[in-house]
Amino acid sequence: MASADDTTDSTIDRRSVLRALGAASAAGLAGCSGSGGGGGGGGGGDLGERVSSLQMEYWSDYGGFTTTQEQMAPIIRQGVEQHLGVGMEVVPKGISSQLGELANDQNRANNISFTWWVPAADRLDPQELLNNMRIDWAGAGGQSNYSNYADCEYTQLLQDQTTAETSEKRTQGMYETIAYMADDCAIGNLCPVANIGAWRTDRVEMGGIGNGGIARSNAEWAFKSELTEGDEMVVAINPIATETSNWLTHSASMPEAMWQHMISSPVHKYNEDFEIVELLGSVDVVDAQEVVVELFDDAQFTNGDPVTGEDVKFTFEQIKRGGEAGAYPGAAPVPYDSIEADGKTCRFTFTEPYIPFVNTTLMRWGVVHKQSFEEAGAVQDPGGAQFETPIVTSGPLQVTSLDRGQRVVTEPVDTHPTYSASQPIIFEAFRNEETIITALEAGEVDIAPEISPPNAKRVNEEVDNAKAEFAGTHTSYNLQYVCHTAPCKFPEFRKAVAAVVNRQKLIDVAMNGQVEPDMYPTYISHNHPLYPPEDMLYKQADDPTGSPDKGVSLLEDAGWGFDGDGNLHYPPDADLEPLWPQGEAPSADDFPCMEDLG
Amino acid sequence: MSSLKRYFAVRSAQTVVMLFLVLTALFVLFRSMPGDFTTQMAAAGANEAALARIREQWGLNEPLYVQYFEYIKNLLRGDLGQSPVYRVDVWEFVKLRMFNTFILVAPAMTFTYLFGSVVGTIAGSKRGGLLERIGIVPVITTGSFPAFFTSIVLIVVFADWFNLFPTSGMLSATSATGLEWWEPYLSWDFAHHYVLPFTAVFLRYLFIPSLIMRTSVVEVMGQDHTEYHRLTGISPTKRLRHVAKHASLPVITIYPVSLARALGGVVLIETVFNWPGIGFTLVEAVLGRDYPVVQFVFFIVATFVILSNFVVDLVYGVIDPRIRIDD
Amino acid sequence: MSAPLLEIEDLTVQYRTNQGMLTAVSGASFTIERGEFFGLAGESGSGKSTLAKAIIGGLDDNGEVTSGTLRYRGEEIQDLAETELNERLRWKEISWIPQSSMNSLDPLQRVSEQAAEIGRTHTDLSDEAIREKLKEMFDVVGLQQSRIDDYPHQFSGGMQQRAIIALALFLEPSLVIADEPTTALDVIMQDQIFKYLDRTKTSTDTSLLLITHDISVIFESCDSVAIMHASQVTERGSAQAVHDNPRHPYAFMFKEAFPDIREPKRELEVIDGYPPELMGDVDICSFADRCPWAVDECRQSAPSLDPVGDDDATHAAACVRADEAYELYEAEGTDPDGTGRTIAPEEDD
Repeated sequence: MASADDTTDSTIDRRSVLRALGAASAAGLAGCSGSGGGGGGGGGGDLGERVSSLQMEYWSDYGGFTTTQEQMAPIIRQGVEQHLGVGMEVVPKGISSQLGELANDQNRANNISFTWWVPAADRLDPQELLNNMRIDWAGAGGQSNYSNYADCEYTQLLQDQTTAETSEKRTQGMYETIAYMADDCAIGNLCPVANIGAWRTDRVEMGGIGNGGIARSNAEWAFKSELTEGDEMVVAINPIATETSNWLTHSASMPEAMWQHMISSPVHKYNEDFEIVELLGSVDVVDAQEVVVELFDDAQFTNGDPVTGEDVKFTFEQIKRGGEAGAYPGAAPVPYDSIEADGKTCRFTFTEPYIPFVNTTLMRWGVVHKQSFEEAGAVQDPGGAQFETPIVTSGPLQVTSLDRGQRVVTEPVDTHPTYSASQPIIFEAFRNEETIITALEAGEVDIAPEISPPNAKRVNEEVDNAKAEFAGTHTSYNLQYVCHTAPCKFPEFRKAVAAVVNRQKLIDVAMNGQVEPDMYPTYISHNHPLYPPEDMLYKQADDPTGSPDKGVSLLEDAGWGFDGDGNLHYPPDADLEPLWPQGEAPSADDFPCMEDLG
Repeated sequence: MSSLKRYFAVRSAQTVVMLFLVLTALFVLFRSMPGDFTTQMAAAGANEAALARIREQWGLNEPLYVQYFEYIKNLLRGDLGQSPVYRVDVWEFVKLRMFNTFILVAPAMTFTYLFGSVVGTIAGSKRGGLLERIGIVPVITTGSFPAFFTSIVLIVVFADWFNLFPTSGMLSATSATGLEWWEPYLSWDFAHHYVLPFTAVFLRYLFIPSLIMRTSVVEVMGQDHTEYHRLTGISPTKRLRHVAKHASLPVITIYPVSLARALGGVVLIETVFNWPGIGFTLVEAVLGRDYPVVQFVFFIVATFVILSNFVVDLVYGVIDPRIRIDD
Repeated sequence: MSAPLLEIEDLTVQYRTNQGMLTAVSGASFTIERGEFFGLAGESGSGKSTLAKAIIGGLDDNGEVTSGTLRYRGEEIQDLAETELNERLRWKEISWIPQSSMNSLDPLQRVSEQAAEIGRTHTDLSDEAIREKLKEMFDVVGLQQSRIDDYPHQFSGGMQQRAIIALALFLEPSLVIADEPTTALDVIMQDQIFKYLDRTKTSTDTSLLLITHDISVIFESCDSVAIMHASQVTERGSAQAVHDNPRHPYAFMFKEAFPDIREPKRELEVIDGYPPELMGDVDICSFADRCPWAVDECRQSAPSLDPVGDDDATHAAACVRADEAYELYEAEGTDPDGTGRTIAPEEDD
């Protein structure tokens, strides 16, 4: 696919970057001229207002992912402009600005957020991502419905599956929730996010890659790989993971995963192939309101203390405390009724059915050592506690030294009932991917998780004794439509955009052709363990290279039309008003469910 | 002498007011950026309910002026606050990083300025000489490369090809642990890691003192007192020392500003060399809207600039009697 | 006591310029005896400062002595290297009072520091002895002794000039070259300084080469004089002889351009035009174009400096009409049309 054509449109047009500086005003002007042209153009009696140029924002400050987005964006624009007769501005924005503006409904110039979501381990349950589409989180409240997708029925389905009576019913409910959203094409999927990692083939016998890939969110390779040369395995990581010994306060889930799933162990979790493995004990879903954890007899902390029901109880009580104290950003509210510990058993009961507990909260958090936490003062001050090395943890690796901003040094221990590491692992902080690759080349780093496609290519083609491998993960690159303003408030328009994108080209250009396209608009990727059966889902396009005809007919069937110059026009009777005024939330008048959701 | 005291009093008051303005400006500036530190947490998978509590706990829902007074109140109590992103006390969080940057930049820049002054003096004093015409070219050339390019070249050549130095980091991954905080800086391992980043800073900034000094020396060489020195028959070395003393005034002026700029500007060098300094952390903190960290570090840099200008004024007074303040 | 202090013989100094060699001094000859006060006069651009600088090796980088000799106490010095000049001649033997005294003192050094540096370079004196000598000299030039530790900017312009004169004299050199030394001083101070210079003349053997455009000063204080015009010495001799019996048209016109206390009522003379810039060797009388009595012969070769009159053995003039010019002047004046130019007091040379 590497034709001359590809190279010219594989980078972002710099002019659009400049224009982005005045994005809001520019888009406002474009809108004015668009409507004027539509009124005066007179391309036929049954055409409505002309659809003005779209704005698509992507995250400009996210390292290798930004590069990938910049390679993909022109292809998306090309598809829309060429097949749908609508212009598109591709606008770079810092992630905090972009999401902050959308969470507060401050940016109505944007029509499509080109996003991707970190394939964090706890996103192996889609609950958190799907929550981002709740109607009560839409509008100007600062909450994370970045799509401003407002649909009572969807929100009802989402809540119903949360409180399903059995695991089977919960899974089924999850499928239906996703299927509903797919039918509405609220988020157009492009392809999975790839976890790409590289390692020194002459020094490491690599294992545990699977679908999880060489990423911190997949702890498996830390235990399933073996050093064939040398004494310590050096793994490159983002410095953020080295910043504090109070790992529960981590706000970003990837660095947290290293602490929660490598250094600590949850009771159970998904392995690299997204199958559940029991690490510290078995989990029994007695019913929708009761879950019992039975710890293995040989489950021990790194200091030899047995892991008891009391520790598990303490862990989840501590998370609740920390969440309420505003110290643990990852702490989701759980409708606990009680947590009871008895020897090796811990019983959770809920005030309402809460099946997701098993695959979210219980999987996310590693069990902590009650005594250490109490001694560190974490009960009184969850955010302020620090832990002395060696830190007592429940995983197969013990932290023996922590140099802030530089490294976390771990030693293997044999106290873990299920896994063991074959060698000490030093997690070495790196600030820059190029530096990681150079260090890998020089043999100063053994494993480099989470690198970008271009560097994967470089490793495979230029570095001797090193190999990079792609794993399509459970999250995706998405076209996240802004659903409360025209034109993306119209499902047929969202579907049309989703239909015309050449996904195969995106993958070939930006992902070295290494992942499979996402053909259904599900928010999560097709690799996700809770991906619904495809026959339940609306299909975005018939072909990985895009289905322009499908896109056009979707629009024409809904009354949209093209003028003599091929420009897209709304249906004559289309209501172009936003679903609610800027700065407000969906009203109970328009959306009755808002009354109950408050 | 009373005027000298008054001068100090006025200067001190000015400095305090200036710092306060800087503090306020930084506060307003960073709060006016879209999003707050919970935004990136949310994107990374933090829980919305927990974030709501965090926003509440950090007072983000309060009006800006309330947050501002709270901030000032805490500062006056000597409480810099915590990084909401890393949940570590700001001072705890930044102190070693600032030191790491300082220990790289300050010696490197000082050496650069001393060396550059010598280069500039030699180049400027031999007018039309080989050194004046071409000696300065490599200095300018290396200075015009972007810092990251110079750094990468250094790594490729000296770490990769010749394998003389490590590619990155400040200490080896396998270095000894559990030492006093200052002990690693005295180790051979540190020195080994120090050479290339030091060289990168040196090559990056050498052109500034060299060029300023050369121009300045050429100018001073043409002044009457230089000719007078020559005709009094004192040795060329002594003469050159007088010239250098005169010519160094502009270099001294620019030094602290340059140093402060470099403290912020070595972020590329730090990133490429994986040096655990403040530069990269600051970039991350700005992107993550880590207000307490960002405000404090920028405040420190501003203080550094303001105070060092103050010090320069004093140094000037020592060197140049003409601007000493007398009655 | 055999050789004269300074003998200048047929000295030519040229500057390399983009247009070629610019001749600043051409075939100049004169002699300064021990203890003699010698005045060198001329307008701007006459080459007098260049000549003076050539003596102390202070020519700019592009200037050089291209022919002739400079003999100091009988020894040729025109080819001495910089280090030899420093070690043997400068300040120990020949000191310098620069024209631009206001900017010549190092603003970053106390006067005493500068003196100490010079003293340590050229003598074995202790710092204390150097300070004493400087103090003495401050006294002589009318500055408070306590001010030797001041910085130049703490002095007024005139005081700086005096300080620099003190610096020129404090090591008791044999020859002081003073380039317009009194420009910045008021008349009373000028007087005082020359009085002091006179005193040193009688007590020591110090000679003075005084460079000035103000020939009246020379007639008042110098034993001998040389008058230069556009690189050439036009006339030289004892001050008395040149004053009373000038032979070269430039000499007498120049002399008449300045007021003379001996003839207070006299009208001042005016000389048309400017001295020319001379490229390459000078083979004419450089004054020819401005001279009312010029004849063809003046432009055929550079006139040699030949003895004139019998009043003084050193009196010589470089003019083909040296015998008759002054009589013609006395008889006819210079400028029947009256459209001349006064030679303005110089500001720069």
